[in-house]
Amino acid sequence: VTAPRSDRRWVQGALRVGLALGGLLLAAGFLLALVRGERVTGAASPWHLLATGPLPDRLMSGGMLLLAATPVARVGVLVAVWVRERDHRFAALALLVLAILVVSALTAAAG
Amino acid sequence: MITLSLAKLVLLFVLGAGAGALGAWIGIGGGVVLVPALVLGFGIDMKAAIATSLVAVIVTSTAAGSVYVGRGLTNTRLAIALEIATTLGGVAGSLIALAVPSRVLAGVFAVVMAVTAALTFRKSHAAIHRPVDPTAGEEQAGEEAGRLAGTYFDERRGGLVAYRARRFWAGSAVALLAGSVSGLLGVGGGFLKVPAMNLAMDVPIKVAVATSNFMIGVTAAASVFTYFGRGWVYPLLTAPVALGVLAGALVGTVRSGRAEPNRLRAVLAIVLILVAAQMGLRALGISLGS
Repeated sequence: VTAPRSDRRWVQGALRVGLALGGLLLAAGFLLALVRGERVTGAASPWHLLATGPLPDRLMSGGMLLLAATPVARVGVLVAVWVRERDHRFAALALLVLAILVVSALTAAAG
Repeated sequence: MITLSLAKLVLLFVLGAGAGALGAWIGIGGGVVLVPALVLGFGIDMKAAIATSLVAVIVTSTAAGSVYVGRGLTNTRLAIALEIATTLGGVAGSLIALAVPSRVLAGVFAVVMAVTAALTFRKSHAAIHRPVDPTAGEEQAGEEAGRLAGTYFDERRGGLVAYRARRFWAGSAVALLAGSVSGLLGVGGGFLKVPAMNLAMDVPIKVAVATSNFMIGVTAAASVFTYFGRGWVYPLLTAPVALGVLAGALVGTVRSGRAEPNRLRAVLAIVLILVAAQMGLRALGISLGS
């Protein structure tokens, strides 16, 4: 049995939304920084910049976080798709990968 | 603080586009190209270069994935099954990095990559021939539920080709190694995953490239948040690289569908040799990086 095309569209949709929104935020922030003549940049955490940084940095950080979250969302979509297909073995494996990713992200955000 | 002139920002975009195109074309994230280029060419700190590279790897993976999934080339079950070993390897890699001198590790990886490159070259002259079903179209290609098998549409041969992944544990062993490299160096590890799937598991090169592309994004996501949390991101540096990668990856993915498998293999082998040489030099104490 080959996986239905509708499931593929869900995965493709998740990827395209994440990529488009993340890319747009990143491009908007970068262009705004260029227009404002900003050429100096300091190392910081995107979470910190998102909360307290100037507008171009906020936009760029938001874009980066969204892009980084897209593969995580993709694994989440696979869990849902495989549960629906009753492919429980692979749903469990995907859930394990998702758990590792979420723990990694939450630990880093808290630290 | 770093200062980036307009010319440098344009160069960063071009660098990203090149890495993205190459990465998407041969199923790697482009990190093996980006990290040395940022450190050597732009004088960026190693950790900031790795953080930027990880974002680039994720962008390559997502951009390529959005095209590959629609074509039924990516085997997501194979990716998730191998990703267990890869994420564990990522954790192990960061622990090993703390305990073993990096020169020893660099030497081991240089040897592993050189051997893989040699195998990849050899195989390119003796590709496995599989039967083709010329009556089926691309829309019927996809993976099978419950097992590591599927079909893909071969444009050159004009039909649907069935495959089944073999030697899962051998593939997992290499995936574990790929994850360790990823944890150590901040690269996706696609340069190990593609040969592992293709050579050890008998997965067709195009399916291996697409599946590796999915995996590198997940692997990079597992470690990028750590670099984010430690504050190793220069927004004005990462943005032009990531935007360049996005443009390059979309072009590279479209090209991949039309490329000959043997040419894909040859490009992959050349990249492996370059990385092996770089790692070998580092092992001998000739540091190209920090």
